[in-house]
Amino acid sequence: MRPAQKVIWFFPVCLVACNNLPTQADRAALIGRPTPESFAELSAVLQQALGPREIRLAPDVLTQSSVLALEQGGNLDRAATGRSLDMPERFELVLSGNRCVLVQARTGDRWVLEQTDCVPVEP
Amino acid sequence: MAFVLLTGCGGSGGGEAPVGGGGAGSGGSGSGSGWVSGQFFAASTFKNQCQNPRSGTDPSTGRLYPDIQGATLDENNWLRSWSDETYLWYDEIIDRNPANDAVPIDYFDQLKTFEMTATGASKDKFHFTYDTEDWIALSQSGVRVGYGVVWAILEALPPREIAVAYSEPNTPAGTGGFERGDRIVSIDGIDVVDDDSAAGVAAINAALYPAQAGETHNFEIEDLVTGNIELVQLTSGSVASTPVQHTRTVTSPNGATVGYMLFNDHIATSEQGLIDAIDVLAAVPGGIDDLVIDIRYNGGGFLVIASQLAYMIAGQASTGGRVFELTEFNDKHSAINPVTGNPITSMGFVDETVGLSAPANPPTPLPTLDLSRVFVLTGNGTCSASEAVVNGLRGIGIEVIQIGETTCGKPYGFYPTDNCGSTFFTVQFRGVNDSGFGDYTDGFTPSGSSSSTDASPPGCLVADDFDHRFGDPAEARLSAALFYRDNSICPAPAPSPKVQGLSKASTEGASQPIVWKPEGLNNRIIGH
Repeated sequence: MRPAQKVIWFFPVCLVACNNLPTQADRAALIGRPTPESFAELSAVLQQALGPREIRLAPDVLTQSSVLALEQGGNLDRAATGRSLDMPERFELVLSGNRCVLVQARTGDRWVLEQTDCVPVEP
Repeated sequence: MAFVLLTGCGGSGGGEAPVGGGGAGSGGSGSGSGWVSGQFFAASTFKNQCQNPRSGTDPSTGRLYPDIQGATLDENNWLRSWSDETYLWYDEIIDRNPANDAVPIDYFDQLKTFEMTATGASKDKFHFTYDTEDWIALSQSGVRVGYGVVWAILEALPPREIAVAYSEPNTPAGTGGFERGDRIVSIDGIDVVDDDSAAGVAAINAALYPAQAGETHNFEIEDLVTGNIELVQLTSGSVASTPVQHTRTVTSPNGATVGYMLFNDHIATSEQGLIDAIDVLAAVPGGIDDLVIDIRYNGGGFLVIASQLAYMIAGQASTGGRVFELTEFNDKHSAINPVTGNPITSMGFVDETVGLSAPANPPTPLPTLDLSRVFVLTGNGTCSASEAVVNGLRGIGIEVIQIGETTCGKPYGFYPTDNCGSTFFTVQFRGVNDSGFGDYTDGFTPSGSSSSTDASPPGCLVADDFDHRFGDPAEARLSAALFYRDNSICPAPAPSPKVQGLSKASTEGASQPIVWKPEGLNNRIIGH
């Protein structure tokens, strides 16, 4: 299992008060310029949202799609996951005003990513 | 992931704990276990009572582990009752004394049916466990450690033959020029074809299936088309798969325009990939006359994606109000899902985005091709949700023509359930289509020009072909599909591989190539 992050990069914003799905003001976004800091920040937010478990991300995560789906059993035999009725954990990266925000689809929880450079998805 | 088990579902025991059951007092010999054959206490009676309870925070819930001190007997008793409550064939389990197995996983191995199918295969081929820590690990959809290539082991022993089954774009292998059918000549200077030393075999295995990111190896690879041999250095990393590839149209010998796509995994990112592919084919001037979906390596995944794909093939007029798949549990649970506690409902043909990778806020209508038939290219790796596409479409009268080999035969599913650090997979439900059919335990097998049973669609038995690229009209399975499309019969069998030299295209009798996914499983499949 991946060791716990020693540096806390995440900046949760009112998990209860801001518990809602993306609003009309949100615009789907991508990470425009991925850096080690933005990757660490995203990893830390995901650890906070999902608990201390191994979470494997590609280095270009959220640079091609604004939706991040995390699946269980990705390294296991497909027999384990071949007929899944569940939905994966999903997050969407949005620009809320000029702030880069990660939204958890299942809960509506939102995190502002201070270390991440977001750009809107081109229509 | 949280799992809820209903209680009080099995046998005559009701919800009251047995004398001496639960906690340390339940351990010991069979005579002290309280076991009475055919009598079951609720699984909840024994849940989370562990020989070695975990401590700290459960990452899947964010709360403290629910484990309390128990004994191996409690863990076995939970397995026994849970199986009796939820296993699809619970009445075929031979009830064994839970005190007789010192290892719960060994006891679990006995808690299944040992019946055979009509063909002599095991009725239950899907009964296994994983360490919970491994199971709950998460990966970005389609991301694995590797080079971005899946190998096909055509001959595991010298003279070996190892080919590229497929590669992923924008990965080390994809950008390195690895394409389907290319053969490996050497790795790190070791002759892949003929080296028979133990050290050489170990080195080849290690290089083919890197255990972690950052491993670098030098591959000499022979291009399938040009025959040129190139030296390419690959470094493993976290690479993302592209589950839908090679979307294009091909022309049949009779001049029909036929759409083609390779669809490898029902993972989250395939939602958008399939929409993009269908958009491309729907925009073909004059439309396509037929569609070939290549699912020979598609082991399944999210059932909702299978439903979306079926909808996009058939369209609203054929699917509206129809059942894509109904989930059936054992006969103790005809109305309520025993795991979720929710009413059992059927899954229709999903006609809009659900947000797996395509935007769904708000949901967007899916594109359609409105076809009345589809060709599927299959192999023994075609499994589960992929088979559900075939069965779901056949259930509403869409003609599915199967080209390739028998599929894996998995109309079943499970809710993986943790107890005491192990996650257990036991078959709990079966999917049936709109016609009520779901009995394809032996897989779907093409039956020629007519369909003989619900598990035998029309189509042709054709072995895999590693001598042509995907989407090449000369590739054996696609070629057979085009021939069948034009003539309504199967082509004459191709010469056997032995006669044809290097070619692996044939109809029957060739040994099955090994194409294992995912690539990061640390498979050890090369021998000497």
